[in-house]
Amino acid sequence: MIVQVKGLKKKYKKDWVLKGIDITIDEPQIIALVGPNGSGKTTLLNCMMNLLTFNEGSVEILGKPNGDPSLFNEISYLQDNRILYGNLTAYDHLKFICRVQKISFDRIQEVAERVGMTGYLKRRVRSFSLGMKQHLLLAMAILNKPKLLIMDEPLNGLDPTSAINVRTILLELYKEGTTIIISSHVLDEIDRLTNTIYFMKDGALLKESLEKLTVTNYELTVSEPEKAKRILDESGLPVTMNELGHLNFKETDVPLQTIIDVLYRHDVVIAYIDNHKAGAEKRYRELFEERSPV
Amino acid sequence: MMQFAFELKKIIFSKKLLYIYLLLIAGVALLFVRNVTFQSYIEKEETERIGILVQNSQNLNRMYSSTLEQDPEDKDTQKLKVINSSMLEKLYELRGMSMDKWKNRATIENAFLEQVLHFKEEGGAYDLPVGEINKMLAKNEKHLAENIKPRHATYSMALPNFLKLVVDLFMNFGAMIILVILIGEILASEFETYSINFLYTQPIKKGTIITSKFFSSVLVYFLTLFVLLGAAALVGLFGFKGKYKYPVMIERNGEVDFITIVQYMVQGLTVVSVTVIMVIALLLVYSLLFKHTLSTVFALLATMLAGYGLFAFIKWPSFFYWLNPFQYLLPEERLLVRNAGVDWYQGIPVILLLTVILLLIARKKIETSRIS
Repeated sequence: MIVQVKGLKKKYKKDWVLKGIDITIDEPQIIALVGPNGSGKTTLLNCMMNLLTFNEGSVEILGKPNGDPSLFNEISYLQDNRILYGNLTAYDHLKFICRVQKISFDRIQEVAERVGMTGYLKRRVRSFSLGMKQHLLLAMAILNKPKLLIMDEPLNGLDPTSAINVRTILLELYKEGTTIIISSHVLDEIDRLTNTIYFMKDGALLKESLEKLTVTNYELTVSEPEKAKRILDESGLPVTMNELGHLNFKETDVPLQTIIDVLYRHDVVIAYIDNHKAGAEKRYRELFEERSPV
Repeated sequence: MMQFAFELKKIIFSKKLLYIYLLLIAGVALLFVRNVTFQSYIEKEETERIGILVQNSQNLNRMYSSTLEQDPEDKDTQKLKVINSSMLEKLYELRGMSMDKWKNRATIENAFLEQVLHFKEEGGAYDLPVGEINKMLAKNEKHLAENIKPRHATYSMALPNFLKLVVDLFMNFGAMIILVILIGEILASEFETYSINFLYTQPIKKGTIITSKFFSSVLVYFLTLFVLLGAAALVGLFGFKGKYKYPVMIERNGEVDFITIVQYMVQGLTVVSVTVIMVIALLLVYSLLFKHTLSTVFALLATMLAGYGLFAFIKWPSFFYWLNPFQYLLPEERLLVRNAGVDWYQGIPVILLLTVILLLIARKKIETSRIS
């Protein structure tokens, strides 16, 4: 058993923020926790990590109660960047973790290279950009090769290259046997990471497997965008064009091959295709349509 | 130990510490410059003091002459006039004597003071209280006996006296002000910024957070003291050598007594350091209660003020001095006046005991503490 949360309830003043959450994770997987601001995602993660008390229920991680500090030798919690100390260097943070968790200092360089932060390892955190802080948080979280990695908004402030890098690292960790619970608003990235999504709505958890959802987003870079748009529109494949001249199909169930065939027949050269599933966003809209999108 | 080093680093590598140390060094240097500037004022002040006494005696002489003109047979007035004339002679001698001839000055001043006592015994009225005269006599005698030149209490350039001046400022207000600025936020701010979550999600017992923050704060306090005294000693080297056996007058059970300037500084720094250690422990408890820096600092200052006021303005039986943990908040008076059998060190055991209790409370409290 990796995680077992039973009937977790948490009340702030008179309001129940968590209304009986049950989570059971038996084998390594990536789970996304999605919900609008104030839905209780961070509260749930903080309760699981024993940072907040809860009114009812129980949390066990790797067979131990969540209050056991020795758990943090085997798990990691990537939190908000406010936990960092501005007057210390990135190296100081990582060295401290190595010391308390009895990890070899050699691992610092290894992790820094993997995350891509060797250039500013010895710089003070106060001079870091948001993205650099996120890199450090990630490095801190993976330093101990955790069996369970819980991440609260790890993609905030990351540029596209860094976001891709983080995604690659997470997928590698998953392949190495790490269970990852990730709370994020970046639904696009969630779709690329996992099919298992836990939606938080009004303090309750709705577990979804998006494998059955086949909607996809495509972005095509083509030789003659305006001509291509006209051809696709006339072929009954409505498409939008962004300011860069890229053609976008949002949440479409049209097979990619159909689009390629139409353009090929009209001698339009396709330079690049970016395609990925769009299940999380579609489902999110369905669930939270009465709320403003995040 | 790992946690301790981390906590120490957090304080030592802060810009605040650097600025405070620079301010301390600049402050010490400015204090010395002030003393250099005011050297000429010392002589002027002494001349003025003697001038007032001369004026006093001259007025008395005129008054006695006038009385004797009316009644030449008035024996009492005759006697007082003779003594006052002799006092006036001593004052003239003092007024014309160089400040460098301190032994002669002390001898003459003592002769003058003895005459003032005699004058008062004979019924004369002189503007010097007997207690004050006795203290001046004892002080001069001590300096003559020890062969140590007296220095000005405020503007001395002699190294030991300058160090005492710095120590006085530090122990009376400086230590607590520096403490509050430097480590007032050591734990409360971690709750405000949520950085405590970093520590809470490491495989360490929460109690060690308290212990390590406590010992790192204590070490930083001693480091600050070292920097201050080091700066004072370095700056003081530009002044006079002075003597570390310099006598500091105290009142012990109603009698005048002396300790050396080194004893005074050691005792003062000991009591203030013990108090600082207790205040650090109290700060940690308040940080856990309020989890907010300003509230914590405010509660701490209010407690210190109330604690001091409780014992400074209310007359308790002397036994309570043993129990008052705030008796050394402004320790100068406590060091200089040792009456009713209460010695300078008697409050230390209770303060240390209270420190241990506060630390145990903080360790217990943090075990159940969560983010707000």
